[in-house]
Amino acid sequence: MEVTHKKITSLRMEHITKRFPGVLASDDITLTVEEGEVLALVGENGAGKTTLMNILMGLYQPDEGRILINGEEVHFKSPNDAFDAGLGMVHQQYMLVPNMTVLENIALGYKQAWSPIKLDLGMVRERINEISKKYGLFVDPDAYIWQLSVGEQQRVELVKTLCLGARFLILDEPTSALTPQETDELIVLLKRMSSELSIIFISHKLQEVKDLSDKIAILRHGAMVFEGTTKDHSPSDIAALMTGHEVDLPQNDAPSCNGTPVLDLKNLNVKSDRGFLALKDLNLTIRGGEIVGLAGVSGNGQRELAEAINGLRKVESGEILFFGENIANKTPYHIIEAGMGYIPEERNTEGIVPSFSMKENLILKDSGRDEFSKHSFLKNKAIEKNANDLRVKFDIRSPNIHVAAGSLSGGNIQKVILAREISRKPKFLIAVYPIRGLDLGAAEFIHKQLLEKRKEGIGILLVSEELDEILDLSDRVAVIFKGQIQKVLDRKDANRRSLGILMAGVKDDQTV
Amino acid sequence: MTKQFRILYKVSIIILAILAAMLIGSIILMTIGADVFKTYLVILFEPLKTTLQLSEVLLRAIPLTIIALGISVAYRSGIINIGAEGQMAMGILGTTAVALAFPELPKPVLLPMAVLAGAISGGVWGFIPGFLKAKLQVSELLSTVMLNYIAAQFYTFLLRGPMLDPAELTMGSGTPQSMRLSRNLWLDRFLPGTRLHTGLFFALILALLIYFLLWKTKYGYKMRAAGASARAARYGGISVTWYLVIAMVISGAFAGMAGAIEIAGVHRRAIEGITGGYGFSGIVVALFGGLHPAGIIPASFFFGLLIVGADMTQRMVGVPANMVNVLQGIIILVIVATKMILADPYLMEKVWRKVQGLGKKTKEVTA
Repeated sequence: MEVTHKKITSLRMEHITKRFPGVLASDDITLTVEEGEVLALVGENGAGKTTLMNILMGLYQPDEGRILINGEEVHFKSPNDAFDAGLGMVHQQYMLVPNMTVLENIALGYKQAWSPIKLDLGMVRERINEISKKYGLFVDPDAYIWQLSVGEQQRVELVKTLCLGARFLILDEPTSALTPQETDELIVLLKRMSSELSIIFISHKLQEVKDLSDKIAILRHGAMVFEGTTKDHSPSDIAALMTGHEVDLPQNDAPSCNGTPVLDLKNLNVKSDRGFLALKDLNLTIRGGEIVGLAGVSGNGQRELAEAINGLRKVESGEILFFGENIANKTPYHIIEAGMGYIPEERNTEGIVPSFSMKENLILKDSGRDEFSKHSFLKNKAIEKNANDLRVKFDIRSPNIHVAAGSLSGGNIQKVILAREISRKPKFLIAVYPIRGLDLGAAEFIHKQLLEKRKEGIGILLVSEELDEILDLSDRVAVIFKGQIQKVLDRKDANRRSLGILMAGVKDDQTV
Repeated sequence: MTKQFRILYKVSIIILAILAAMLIGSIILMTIGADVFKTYLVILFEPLKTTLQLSEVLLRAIPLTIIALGISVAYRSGIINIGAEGQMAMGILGTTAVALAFPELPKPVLLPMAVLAGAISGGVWGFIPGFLKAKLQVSELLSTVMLNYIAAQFYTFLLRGPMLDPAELTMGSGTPQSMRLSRNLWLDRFLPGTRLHTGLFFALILALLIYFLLWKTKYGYKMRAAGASARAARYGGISVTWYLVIAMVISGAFAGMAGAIEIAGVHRRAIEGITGGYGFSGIVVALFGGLHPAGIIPASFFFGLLIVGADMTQRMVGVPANMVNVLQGIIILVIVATKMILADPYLMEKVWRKVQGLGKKTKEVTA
């Protein structure tokens, strides 16, 4: 196959419109990127940024509108067509095979190296070296992917995309899984690369938009609401344009209370799915009436911790004292009955049964309770009343209570989960990434509810990788790294810098 | 999007699916040189023409309904039961054993006891793969299929040995069958001149029962939750493995009952070949009926029609009855494809827009 190496001097999307069931995902959007430009595509989650880029990459066909490269109209029927035209996209979720080396991963897509009988790995290796040198992107071709940190994996993705001939980069929230330090490195790197090629990057973090981009395009509800040069606008201007109004996320400004310890984790050892210890002798105490933020880059044991506390994962050794009772390795049912509330990470697959209606999901933990069933028969009236009440109280925006919960938007699914967990009157709450992927309005609502519960004297463990969220809500911040608590800081001692360093695994901040 | 459109959309997809299945079927019919039009005509309409033939269709629908109900419970709970054939055979053995042991018991005692014995035997045969799956993650596809073989061999063994009709021994013909079972086990035949028995009402009552179990009780709620999303169910404090085993026991018990009803109503003794593929057709019926009692009843009737119709085509058009198996296979494939299409809301939206005449420049619809 012949791959042209002509530079992409201009890319233009004209009047792009795309409809999904019930949503106008892209509403007559036009944007242009010239040679060597960096365009930041900004907007809240669900604003249609990723959809627009998926259209550009040929994953979706636009219902209306056209795409022009170097002034010529192009039709991408699949991502392959877009690759051939020189576009390369790095997705939020990396597309790498963990038990293969960097070299093998890149060879997978490098068609020139494939002949009917032989795979020319030497040729791929040369190509990697060439790209590494050209852009200052250094990777070890013989390292296995699973050995690499998230930041390194991302570099592999970049190298892979460039090796396959990309002359125009699209990055979907490139910094979402990185530590603050890795983020800074990436921004320096991308800046250097922008002299060679054009970049579109999706983000909702305003600081990096300011640092990196030349132009900015803001999407809201699928429509382009603003387009301009970055340097003329302050981050707060951009934030206001993004949300359509001034947003102030609520802050925990109450004095920290000294309740009694309600959840006490002692020398906890828990294995991950892959069989190694994800938590190593972890210790943490949480008191009633306080929010403890668990900061850390995802994949450092947060998931395993939340699952172990809720009886969904085996505890190898150690104790989980919940109001004095050791609940380690008890059944999930037992732990729920003991008063544990849990907002899980995977809201679409774990927090709800997607095919069940909203009203059914609201009784997921309570179908056997007298309130909702009598002599084993479900009380439909009580179930519907419960759903209608919660729908109003938690502002769940659904057409009715009978719709499949899986058809709701992320924010509304999260509200269904929150409504269920809070209305059960838990004695403790574990919230894992409660606002990940939600727009600011929903995030604001959820944070208010959490602070409300704190005021009622409930202890909350808040797992998050968003430092702002942690700093806004927590009384104390515990930093998790490789399955251990690095340090527990009082809120007044915690800031972005100190947390960032701890999250990267440096224990003693004097050394940095 | 209006509700009428939604219903119309789904109905037309299903009709298209049936037409597609018939079209593929007709290609195969043509290759064996049959008269396609006449074959379909005979299969679909001939059995409806006389009361006798209609009663035969209903007769086939009874075990199909009962088995499919059980299979739908398993499916809804997240476990695929391919072992109904073996569970039915075990049910027949259980019923036969009780009927042979206590032939003198009065009917109101013997009949429920024998049916219960059938249900328990089938239930045990369902429990084994359920338990293996829950405790040791043994694939139910393997264990149920293997248990079918064991059940079939066990069935043959008993009919040729311990349960063999003593008369066969003395007479010397040696046909592997039990002696004729006590009259007190027989189900009444309520339509004079036909074999149609009261098991029909029993099947309908079971259908109602399953509907209530699955949709109106907390147990059904938990089973469906476990089946729809095991992860979310576990998170919600539902013991997924426990309900998995329960569902398999129910599924097996229903297949066992189907066997019990079949010998109490039709054969009145255990002979070889009673199960005759009902256990497998039951899977197709359950899927075709949308895993819901309200769909399973008409689906059983339809499959009963196919079975009787196939016999008639053999006689009237000379198309082998095995063709029905081929048609069944085609129908399964079409169902799977249809489900994918029905589960795609995006496609529905697209069609809706086309219907409305929106989207001026619509692209070719690629399903």
